[in-house]
Amino acid sequence: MAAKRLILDGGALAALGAGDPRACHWAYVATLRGILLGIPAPVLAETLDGGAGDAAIGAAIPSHDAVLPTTREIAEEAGALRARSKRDDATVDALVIATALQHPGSLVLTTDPKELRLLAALRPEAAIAIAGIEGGRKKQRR
Amino acid sequence: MAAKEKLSISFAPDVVARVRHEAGEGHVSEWLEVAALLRLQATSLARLMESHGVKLSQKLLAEVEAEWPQSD
Repeated sequence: MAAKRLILDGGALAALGAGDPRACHWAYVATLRGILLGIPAPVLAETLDGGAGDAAIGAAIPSHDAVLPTTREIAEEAGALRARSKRDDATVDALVIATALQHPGSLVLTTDPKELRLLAALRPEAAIAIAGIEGGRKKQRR
Repeated sequence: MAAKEKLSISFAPDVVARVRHEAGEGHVSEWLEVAALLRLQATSLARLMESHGVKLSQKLLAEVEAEWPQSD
């Protein structure tokens, strides 16, 4: 298991890249608390589009270490979560929660707290914390 | 810039102790790496906030602190 992180979903990453004040303050408090940002790799795939906006997203990623790889274990967990949620369009959100499970004590920052809480509730023993912010580039659901 | 000054401050002893604990007390290179990544994160965030003209807001800080999980 790895150290706790402030894990961003696509909406939160886009919001941070756009300089959304709330997203910046969440990242600020995490930094002062000694908590590194974490961006599951599939979130990057969901958020980047090869366009001009990618530079802003890139500016929100402090280091290569911030991008969290998707292992087979995470993928299997996400698949199970997605199936149990009966939401075929929730693959990336399920990967976010499955990644958080690998970093106990992590906090997930999202622009879609309702969806993420539903998925996190499928693993209540993990007590994954979800924090919601508004705004940011609308993530595409896949 | 205030944000950069704030983000450049040394981390509190309890934060350093927790980072050391999570990395493993005997794994000095690991917690030093985490500390370096935190510094990088602070610098990156300060640059991001500056580029977007985002100022530290005591109101927003208080809101985030209030919403932060109690277990931390």
